[in-house]
Amino acid sequence: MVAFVFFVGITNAKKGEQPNNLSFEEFTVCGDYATAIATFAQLAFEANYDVAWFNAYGECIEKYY
Amino acid sequence: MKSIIDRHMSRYRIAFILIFSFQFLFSQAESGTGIYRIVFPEDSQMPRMGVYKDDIKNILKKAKSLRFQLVFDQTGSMFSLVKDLQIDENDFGVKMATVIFGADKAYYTNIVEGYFIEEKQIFDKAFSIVKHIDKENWELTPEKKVINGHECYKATGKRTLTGKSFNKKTLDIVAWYCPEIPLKLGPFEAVGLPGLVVQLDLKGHSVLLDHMEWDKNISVENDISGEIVSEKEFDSIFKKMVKVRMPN
Repeated sequence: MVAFVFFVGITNAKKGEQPNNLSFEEFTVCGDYATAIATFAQLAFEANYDVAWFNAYGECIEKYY
Repeated sequence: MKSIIDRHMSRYRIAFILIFSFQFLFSQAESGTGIYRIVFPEDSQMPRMGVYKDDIKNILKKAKSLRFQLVFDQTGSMFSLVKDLQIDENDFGVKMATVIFGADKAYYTNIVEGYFIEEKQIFDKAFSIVKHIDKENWELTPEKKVINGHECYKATGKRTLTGKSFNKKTLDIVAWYCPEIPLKLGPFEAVGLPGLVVQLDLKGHSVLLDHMEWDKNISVENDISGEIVSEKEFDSIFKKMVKVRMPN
């Protein structure tokens, strides 16, 4: 059940839709999102990974939760 | 024969007038503002954007709308994001572009005393890191090119940054400085070179001078007010602040 909810949350977030409001997702979905953005920023522009990660994570939380 | 001499004389006259005008311009107004913008090289190889490509494209689009100001006078400069820039600060793309492309930082340079202060933000707390302007940080090369009508020379340098696991990394950077604009200033830490840095090449993008406005009434003030720390102290504080907030 947890795995299903987790999967739905990630899939919805990737589609840009608001995922189910589950506390378990908060880090997992937004963590996944922040990691993708920060990794791109570091590979493409040598941006500070941690600062990019926290900003993307914060934006995701604000947007979806 | 006379016409050849006249032609040479007129060339000398023009050259003299141009040189004199240029020197007059700088002696009258050694202060002003330079506006810089971010450009992406057309041949740059971007890594794969993945499923979040729309958000990443939005960040890159917003990065192009950022403008930086280099306010300068005879004593130094203040480099930061343009104060009254017409951008939506709540927009996700703008916020991320600000962080990724260093628009959340500010630099005060005192060219007379030979130092600059870098202001960095961590979670809305500002820190000031004081560094000496060290000519040895730059290697001057004979390579040159014309940028916006100015003949500029290539200098190579290093930028130190923090990697994914707090490891220290160095990045090769290239500054294109123009001796015909006799200001030892430029964007970010690119200062101390024998001419204004018109273009700074960083990983995957460049910071390019868009235009300059000379104004003899401008005087530079140090706007940086964050807690003064050494680079080592900043790294330690940064590590602690990130670790406290990083979910397990």
